[in-house]
Amino acid sequence: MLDRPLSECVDRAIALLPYACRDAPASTEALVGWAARLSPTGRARDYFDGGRAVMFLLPWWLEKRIRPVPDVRFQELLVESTVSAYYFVRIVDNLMDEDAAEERGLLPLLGILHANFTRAYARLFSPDDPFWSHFDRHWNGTAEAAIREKTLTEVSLDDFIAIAARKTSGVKIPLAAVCCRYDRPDLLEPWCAFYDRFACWHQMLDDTFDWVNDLRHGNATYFLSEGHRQKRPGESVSGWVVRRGFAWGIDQLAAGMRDLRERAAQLESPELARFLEYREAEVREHARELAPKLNKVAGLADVFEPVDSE
Amino acid sequence: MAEGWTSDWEKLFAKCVADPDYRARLATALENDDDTGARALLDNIGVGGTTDTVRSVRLTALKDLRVPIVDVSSEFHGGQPPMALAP
Repeated sequence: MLDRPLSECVDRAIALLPYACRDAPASTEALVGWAARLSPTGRARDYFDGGRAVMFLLPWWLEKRIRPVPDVRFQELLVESTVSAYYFVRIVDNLMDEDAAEERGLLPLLGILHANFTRAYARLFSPDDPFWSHFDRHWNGTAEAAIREKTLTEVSLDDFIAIAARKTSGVKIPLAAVCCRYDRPDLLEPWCAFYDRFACWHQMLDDTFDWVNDLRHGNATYFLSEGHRQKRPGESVSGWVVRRGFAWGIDQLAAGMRDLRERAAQLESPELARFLEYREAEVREHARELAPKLNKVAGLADVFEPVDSE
Repeated sequence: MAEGWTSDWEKLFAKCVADPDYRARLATALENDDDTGARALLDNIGVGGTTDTVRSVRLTALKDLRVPIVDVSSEFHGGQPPMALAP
C-alpha cells in the first residue's frame, strides 16, 4: 500500500533524525532514543507503518490524483516535515494525556521539531503565498482542539466531532501544500472534509481499543462518556464496556467506515478506496479476536457486579 | 445507586489494571488452586464477598475465566498492508 518511493521517503526522513538537532548532541541523543522507544519494535521507522502511515499516504495519493507520478523530492520534504510535526504533537499529547515523565524531559526539543516542521514549507512557499493561511488554520486547529479537549469532563458527539477528532488537523497541512503547489484549490476542501471524517473514525478506533488505558488515566473520551450515558443502574463503565460497549464501539466504526468509503469514492483515488477496504477488514478481524475474551470477562463482571438486564 | 459508588467488579478490575504485581499474585494463586491465597487477595481489596455462597461463586468464576482479566483492551494501530495490494 505504501508505494516504494513513498516508503523510501519515510526511510530517509527517519534516517535524517540524528541530524535534526544540529550542533546539539544531547538533544539528538534524546530525540533519537525517545523515537526508538516510542516504537514497539524499538525501530523508529516501524512506528510509521500501519494506520499512522495515512499522514504520508493522503498527500501522496492527492498528488497522484493530480498527476500520474508524484514529485518524489517534493514528497520527501512533506514527509520530513510531517515526521517532525508528528513528534511535536506526540510529545504534547503524551504530556497532556498521561503522567509522562520522559516527555517532560523532552520539552526543549519542541522548538527544534517545530523549526524542522516549518522549514520544508518555507522552502516551498513564499511568505505571501496563500498556503500560509491554510497552514495557520490547520495548525492552530490542532492546538485549539488539544486545549479544548482538556477542559472536557464528558465528551458528547458534537464535542467528539468538533474537538477530539480535530487534534490531528495538522495532517491537512501537507494536503494544502499539494493543492497550492499544483494550483488545485478545488481539491482541498473535499480531501480535508474526508480527512476530518477519517480522523473521527480513527479517534473512535483509539477510544474503543485503548479504553483501559484511558479509564486508568481518567481521560475523557467519547467512548467512555457514552459508557457513562448508556450504563445501567448499578453498572460500572468497565462493566458496560465488556458487556455491550465494545460491541457498540465496533458498530460505530462499521457505520463510520461505510460513510468513509462513500466519501472516498468521490475523491477518485483507487488507492484510498483499497486502503479503507483493508483497514475495515483488519479492524473486523482484530475485534473478532478480542470478542471471546470480552465475553468471558463479561461473565466475571456479572458475578461481581450483578445488574438488571432490562 | 449513589454517584461515586464503586462496585466490587470495578474495584477488582481497577486493581488488576493498576497493579501488575497484584494481578500476577492473583493469577498464580488461581492457577495453583490456592483458594486461601486467592480469597485473601480478594478480601484485601474488599471484594471477596460477604456470604459463603457469594465467596464460592466469585472464586469459581475467577478460576473459570482462563483469560487475563485485563486482556480486554489493546492499543491498535493496524499492520502494514501487503505490497501486493498496491496498484
